[in-house]
Amino acid sequence: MANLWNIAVSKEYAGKNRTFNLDVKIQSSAERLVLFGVSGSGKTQLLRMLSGLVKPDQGSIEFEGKTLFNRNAAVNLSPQERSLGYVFQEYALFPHLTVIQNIAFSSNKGWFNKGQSFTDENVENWLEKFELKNLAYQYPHQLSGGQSQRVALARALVCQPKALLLDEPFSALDDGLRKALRMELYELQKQLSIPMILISHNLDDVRSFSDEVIQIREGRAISE
Amino acid sequence: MDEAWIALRLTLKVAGVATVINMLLGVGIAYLFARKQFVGKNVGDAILTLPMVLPPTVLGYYLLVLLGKHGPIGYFLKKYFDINLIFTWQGAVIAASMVSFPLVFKAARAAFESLEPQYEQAARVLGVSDAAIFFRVTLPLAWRGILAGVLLSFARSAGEFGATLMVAGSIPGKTQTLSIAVYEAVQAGQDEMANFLVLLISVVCMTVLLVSGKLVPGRVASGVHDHG
Amino acid sequence: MKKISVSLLLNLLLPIQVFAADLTVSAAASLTNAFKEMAPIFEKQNPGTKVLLNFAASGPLLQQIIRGAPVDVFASADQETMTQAQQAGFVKADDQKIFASNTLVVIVPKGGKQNPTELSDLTKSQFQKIAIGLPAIVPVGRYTKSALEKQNLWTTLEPKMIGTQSVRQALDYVARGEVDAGFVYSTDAAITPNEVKRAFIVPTEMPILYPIAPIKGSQNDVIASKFIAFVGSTQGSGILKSYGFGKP
Repeated sequence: MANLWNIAVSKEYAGKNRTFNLDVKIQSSAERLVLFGVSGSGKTQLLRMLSGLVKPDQGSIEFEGKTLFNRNAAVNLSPQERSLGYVFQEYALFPHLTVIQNIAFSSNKGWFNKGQSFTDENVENWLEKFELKNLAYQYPHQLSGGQSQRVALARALVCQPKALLLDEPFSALDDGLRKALRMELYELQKQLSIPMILISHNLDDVRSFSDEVIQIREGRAISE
Repeated sequence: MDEAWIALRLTLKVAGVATVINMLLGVGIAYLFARKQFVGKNVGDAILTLPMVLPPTVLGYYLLVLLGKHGPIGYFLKKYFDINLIFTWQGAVIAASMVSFPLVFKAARAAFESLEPQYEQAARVLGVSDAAIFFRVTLPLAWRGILAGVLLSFARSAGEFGATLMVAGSIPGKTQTLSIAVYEAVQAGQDEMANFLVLLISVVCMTVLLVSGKLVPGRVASGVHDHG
Repeated sequence: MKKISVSLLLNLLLPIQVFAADLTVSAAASLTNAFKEMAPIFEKQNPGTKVLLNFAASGPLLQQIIRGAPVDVFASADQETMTQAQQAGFVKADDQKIFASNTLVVIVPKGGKQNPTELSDLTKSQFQKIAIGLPAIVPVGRYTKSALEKQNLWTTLEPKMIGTQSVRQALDYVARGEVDAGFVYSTDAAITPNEVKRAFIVPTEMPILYPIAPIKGSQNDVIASKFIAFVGSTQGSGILKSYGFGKP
């Protein structure tokens, strides 16, 4: 069976006193892959490379057999072209737009944001699924951590991505909420059956969510 | 006091046009500087900021030499377009725009650079084009900082004197702005006129400050909603 | 080395006015070159005196004096400004002396095709812009205006006029070719012979005379009188003549 993810990338980060070298090789067909490691180990950087926000120095990235990046062949798809959803660690909800405008953001590719009244089937679907309907006209700064996370998730899913990348999606939440949302995410993944890569430094996430774990330590991938 | 009203109308026209030019150019170029990497960025920034630091009369002299009949740009304009900018209100606009351009450029650049990159990144991953992102995410979040620079630019354009005097001269109705009119009234000992003109200028400046206070209340640096 | 330290010591020990006096002279813009040549000569003849020259149109110079600028000597390009100074109480009638005269000319850019021979020529369409000192503040502008009014040309030519802050600015605009013609003194036209060309002399109602006077209440009245005497001396008037100024 061909791998879902075929990743072999490296990048040198020159810092003030030291240089950080990221050199990661991952071949995985996991549906729910967890990248596990302490902060500063390079997990977020790797995720950024997968999404196209950061360009590796060398290597290649393939997903479902499609080349997203290949240094030697001079291929580098922009984030817009990769169809990969991304949930940021701090959610990155657009502060100047309401919940519904945030979620509907990718429905419209034009140069202007749609007004408050815009909605479509897809958007309504996710609003309902995540029980966000009564928050539709709130602004991000009015939301709780759990609510923000759901909005970020809904926003990423509206454009029907082929995979979902999540950077520490539960880190800002308390234990109870963490457990609940992790369960929700698990169910969601099973329902939609889109592959997910999740970054976490929490062992419970590893145990309860993943079907494969890869440890990232000091810029290297260590399979277990 | 007719001359005073003429000077006021002209000042507002010159400052207005100069500010619009600066807004379009300043925001555009600032965005490039804030987001793209290229060789010679620091030198470029210094050159673009230079007009703000140069003595206005020095700038005026440079403009006179460049735009004059025998100057490199002036000759070209005259030959192919039959345009002469010296002693025209358009020349005054160029002088005013040059001295106040850095105010918009620097404010816009700072506003763009202080924006957290995650918002634009999120928009990119959501499949929206880079151009659309500028109008839908970047600008709405940075507009407060930019506006502060734009208002300063307007005030500076309205008060421009040294460079304008050199390039545009002082022709009532065409290039005699309020600042120049004050200068001449004082030189001619026309105190009453001078006082009236100064009053007009003060009212313009106060209005700009009040408007800016209304539009850009409190913090203007980050352009992001305060979190409760 | 020794010489300098001795005079330094003397300067510190002898607070007499004869040493280290600064003479501030406000002079009309057209006198720039002549006075700049005269100043070092005067300084040599009066060691310890430094002449500070301040050039602008006569009108603004007077305004500076009225507002308290510490001027010791005032030389204007017309009697009218000097009379205003007298009326404002800064100059005594008896102290005034006429020291030079001048003529009004029309100049055009050298290398240009225009060759006007009289004032009415300026009404032609090839003269789009004419530089003239602002009559409110510049004497040459006033002379021009009265000359034009005499021939009923002032209102016709007014729309073409580019007002300048001084006679030297008008000269500069013609030299650069930014205007098609300009009114300056013949002494100014002689300064930049490579860039401007004298077209014709403009007859003026009143002769163009330059008065000079000490400012009342200045701290340096002794030196001021000496300077004025120098300007009127054979040496001084010789320098003025070399620049094209006429006899008073």
